[in-house]
Amino acid sequence: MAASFINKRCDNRIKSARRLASKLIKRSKLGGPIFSGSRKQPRVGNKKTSPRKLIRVVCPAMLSLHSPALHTKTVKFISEFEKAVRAAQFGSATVHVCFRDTKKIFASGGIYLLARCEVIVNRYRNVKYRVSVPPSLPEPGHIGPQPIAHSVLCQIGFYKLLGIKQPRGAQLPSVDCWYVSSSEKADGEFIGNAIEKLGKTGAEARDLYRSSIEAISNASEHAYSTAIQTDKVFTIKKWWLFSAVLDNEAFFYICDLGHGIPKTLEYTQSPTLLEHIKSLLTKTMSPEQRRGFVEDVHKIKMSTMVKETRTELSYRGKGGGDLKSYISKHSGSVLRIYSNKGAYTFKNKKLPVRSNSLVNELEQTNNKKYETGYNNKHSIEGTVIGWSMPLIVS
Amino acid sequence: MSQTIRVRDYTLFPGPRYIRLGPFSGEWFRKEVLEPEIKHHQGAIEVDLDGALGYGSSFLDESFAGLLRAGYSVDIVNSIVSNLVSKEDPTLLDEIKIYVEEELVRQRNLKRE
Repeated sequence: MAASFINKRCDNRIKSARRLASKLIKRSKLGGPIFSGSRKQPRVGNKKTSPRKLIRVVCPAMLSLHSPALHTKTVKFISEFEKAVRAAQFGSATVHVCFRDTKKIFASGGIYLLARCEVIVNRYRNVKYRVSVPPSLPEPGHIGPQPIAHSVLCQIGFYKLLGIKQPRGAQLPSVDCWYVSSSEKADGEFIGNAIEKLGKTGAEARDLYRSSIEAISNASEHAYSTAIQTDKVFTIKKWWLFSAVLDNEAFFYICDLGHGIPKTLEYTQSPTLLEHIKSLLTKTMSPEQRRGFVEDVHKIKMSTMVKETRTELSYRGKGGGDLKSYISKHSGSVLRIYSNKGAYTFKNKKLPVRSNSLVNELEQTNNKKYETGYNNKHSIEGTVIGWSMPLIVS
Repeated sequence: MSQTIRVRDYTLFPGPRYIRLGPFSGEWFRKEVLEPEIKHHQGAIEVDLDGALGYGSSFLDESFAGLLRAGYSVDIVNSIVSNLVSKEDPTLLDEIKIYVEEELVRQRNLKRE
């Protein structure tokens, strides 16, 4: 029964093929084409050539770490970029990074983008990229649309990093004083060059140098320490620096992609000192709050207190950690530390303290120094430290 | 007659604590500049900190308190610290004194143990 069914199917195929062939023979006899398809030249070989697959990653409107929402979007975008690059490496596809919706790239977002992308691009080397340039947008105080996000991408060397020719187009006039560099060594000359470009001199330059040389020294010494147990593989053990002037503010940001302050703190400081700092901070807390005192933001706060507590223990009054020293002396300036999930801000101006702050307001109101902190949803897997200073103090 | 050492003659950008971390470190300044001059002038030196862009606390601690850790006597280190010059930022003088005193306390505690 089955055999007769198969024979019947074969007969039908032969018949239909014959029908087609006889049609073609008739057509050729009448002077028509022998081939029925539109292909002028028959395909050579068996391989089909398909267009390269495109994996699209869309950048959010704002690239920044300054608020929990922006932090989440920025970290998610870079994680998606990493996933796309990994997929493209194994599926021989092109990664399309789309900045069409991107309005602004803040210094914290810019330096983090550069650092993470450098590590990702170096890990997956055979990937091709395409970029849609961010649009120029109107800015208050400027005539015509301003290419702010595009200027940031050009200056941090994002296009070059992806092996793409830098797209044409105007850049902001202030980019001349921007500075980007990276190194494995804690070389003060990089800091010096950045400060010089920002036009800082005298006490201001000295204080900024002091804060930032300690930040890059810590990054070189502890950020990628092999003494700390981790599952991470550090293919690049660098720090990145980005200084810029935007919206009448000067920014100075340093980033590393190491263990993060919450992890390094326990290895760099003695348990006695950390216990002492913890007891100082939790003195006024309820037992429940004390139990919750294990978050990344608390550890960042503790790290900023190490120096002042040490000097206090040795019965001397000179306080203020190196990172905070610039802020303590210069009105209107802000220190921001993002490490793993924690976010900590120290401001030298009269501003309302966030209601969801996990860190208490410790400084006196008349000093106009406030500190705030919270934990984000996602970890940045490293540390970003930034100082911002107004160019015109109101 | 004391010998004057100007940091700015060596570098405008004092670096991190240790040589392995980067150029012009505190360890480098102590080993390559301070220690040879201390030996040559029997500790009679004056260190001028002015002219450099700035100093991290690690550099200062390693350069001066590091002398105690390297085995130099308290008298020599105290005489160097009392002959420091820093007109641009006088707070550095107090800061270095604190680092030296902290190191002395640490060494005393170690001896007791």
